Amino acid sequence: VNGYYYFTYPVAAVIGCALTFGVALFAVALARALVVAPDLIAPAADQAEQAKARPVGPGEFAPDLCWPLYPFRQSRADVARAERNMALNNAAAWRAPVRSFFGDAMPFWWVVFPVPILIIVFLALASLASWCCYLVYALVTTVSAGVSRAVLGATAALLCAAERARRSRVRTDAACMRCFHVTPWPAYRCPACRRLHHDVRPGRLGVLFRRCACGTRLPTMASRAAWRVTPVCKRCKEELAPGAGAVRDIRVPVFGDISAGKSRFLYASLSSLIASAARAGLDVSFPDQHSQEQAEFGLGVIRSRRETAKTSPNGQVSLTVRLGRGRPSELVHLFDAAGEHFRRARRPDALRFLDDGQGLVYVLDPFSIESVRKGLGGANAPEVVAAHAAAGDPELTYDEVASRLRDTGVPASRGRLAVVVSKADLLRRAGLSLPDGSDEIAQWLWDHDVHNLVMSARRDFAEARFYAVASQEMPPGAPHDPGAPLRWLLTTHGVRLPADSDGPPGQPGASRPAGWRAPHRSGSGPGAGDAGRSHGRHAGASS
Amino acid sequence: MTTPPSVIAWRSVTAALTLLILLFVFLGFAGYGPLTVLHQVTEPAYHALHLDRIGG
Repeated sequence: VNGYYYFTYPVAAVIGCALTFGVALFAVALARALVVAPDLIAPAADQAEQAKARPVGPGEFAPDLCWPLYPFRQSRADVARAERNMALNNAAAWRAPVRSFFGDAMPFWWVVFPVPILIIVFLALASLASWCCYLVYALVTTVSAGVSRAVLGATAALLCAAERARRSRVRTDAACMRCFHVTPWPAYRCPACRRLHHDVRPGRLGVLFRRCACGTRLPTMASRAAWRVTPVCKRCKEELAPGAGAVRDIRVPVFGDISAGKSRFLYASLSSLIASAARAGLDVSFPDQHSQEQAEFGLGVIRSRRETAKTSPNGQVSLTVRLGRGRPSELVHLFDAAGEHFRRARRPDALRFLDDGQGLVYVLDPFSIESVRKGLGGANAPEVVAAHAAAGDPELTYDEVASRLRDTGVPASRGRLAVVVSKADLLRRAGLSLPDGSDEIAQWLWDHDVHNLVMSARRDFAEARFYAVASQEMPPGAPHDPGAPLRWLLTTHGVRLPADSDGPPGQPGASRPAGWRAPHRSGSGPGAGDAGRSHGRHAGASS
Repeated sequence: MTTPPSVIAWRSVTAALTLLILLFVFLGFAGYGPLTVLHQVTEPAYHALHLDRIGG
C-alpha cells in the first residue's frame, strides 16, 4: 500500500536537492554581488555619467562629488552584478557535466544511461530555481527602487519649491565681498575634505542629507547647510559669512564724487544703525575679521570726530554687518570706493558692486554746487576749503553711474535711491541751512540748479528720497541723522528696525514747512518725476 | 572605497525582502499540496511497476 513512497520520496528528495542547489547558486551570486565583490558606483563614476548625460555648459558646475542615493543608481548596478554572477555560477555548474556528457568522455557516460539524463534534469531544475530566485530579487529591488525614487523625488521637489519660495520671500542671495559676485546660493565646503558642493538642493544625491565623496554627511538646502558648513563664493572661492545663502542679504552701495563724504557717511550711518539696532534689541556684529577691523577704525574716526582719510583709489571699503543673531539674522553689506572710480563708472572694473545693489546711496557734497560756492564767496572761501569740497559737478558722477547701470542691463527702475546731501552741519556753520524733508531737499537742490539730478533720480529709480545728513555722529532720529537713509533702504527690504517717525525734522515724511512749493507736474519742478519718466533721456545725460 | 552606510542599509532591506518572499514560496512548495500532486501524477507508474506492493 505504501510502496509508492519508495518512488515518490526519492523523487521529492532529488527535486528538493535540486532546488536547494539552485538557491545556493543564487545565494552565492547575491552574496558576491552585495558583499564580497560588489560593483560600487563611486561618486566620481556617477559624476562622469551625469556629466555625459547632460554636458556641463559654460558658467555651470559639474555635478557635486557625492554618493548618489541607492535607488537612483546603485540599485541598478547591484541587479546587474547579481545577474552577471548568476550567469557565471550557472555556467560553472554546467561546465563539468557538459564536458563529460558531450565531450571526449561522452561514450562512457551514455553507457551508464540514464545517469546523464538525471544529472542534466537535476541541473536544469537547479538553474531554473536559481534564476527564479534572481527574478524575485530583481523584482524586489526594481520595484522598491522605483517606488523610492517616486517618493524621494516628490519630497525633493516639495523641499526645493519651499526653499525657492523662502529664497524669493526673504531675498537670501549670497554676496561675496571680495569679487562682488552675487548668487542665489553659494557653494558649501565639506569640513572634512574641503571639497566644494555647488548645488545642495535636495535631489538624487540626497533629500535631507547628502554624503560627500569622503563619507562626511552634509545637510541639503542652503537654509540648513549655511549654518553647518562653510559657505564659499562660487566664483573666487572666498569664505562667506556663516548663514550666507540662508539669511536676508542686503547690499547698499554708496557712490559719489571725490571728497563728497562717502566714507564718512558710511561710518556715520553705521554708527546710527548700531544705535537703532540696540534700541530695537537687535545684536549687531561683524561676521568677518576684515569688516570688524574696518568698522572699528571707521567708527573710531567718527566717534572721535577726527577727519576721515581719503579712500585710496586702489582700495575699497566693503563691510558686512550682521543684524540679529543666528537664523533670523540679516546680513547688510555696505560698499564704498574712491570717487575717482565713479568718474569712469562705465568701465567694467571694481564697481561691480553697483550692479547688484538693492538700494543705492548717492552722496552729494553741497559745497560742490556752483551756486552754493558762489554764495559763500567762491571755491577759495574759507568755509569751502575747510569742508574739503568735492571739485566735480555732482550731476556728472550720478550720470556716470546711472549710465553704467543702464548699460549693464541693471533694472534700476526697480531699485531705490537715497540722495544724501552731506556735510549739513558744515553748511549750517557756513551760514546756509538745508531744509527738512525729502521734497524740500529736492526743491532746494532744484533751486540750486541741480534739477537734472533731481529729475533723473526720480525717473531712473522706482523711488528716490532726498536726505540731508551731518558729517558727524548723530543719535537716531535727530535732525540730519546720517542713519536715516540707510534705515529707509533697509526697512523697505524687510529688515526689522524701528521705523523713523514722522516727527524728526530733516527726514522724509516730516511735516512740510510753511511756504513749501507743491511739485510741478509740468516737468519743471522737483516733483515732476512721473512726468519726467516718460522722457527718453534725462537732461545732462552723457550717453 | 568604503561603502556608505545607506547603501548597506538599502541592500540589507532588499535582500531581506527577497529572502522573505523566497521563504514563503519554498515553504509552500515543500508543503502538503505539492506532495499530493506528485503522488497523483506518479501513481500509474508505481502501480505498473508493482511498487505499491513492495513492503505492503
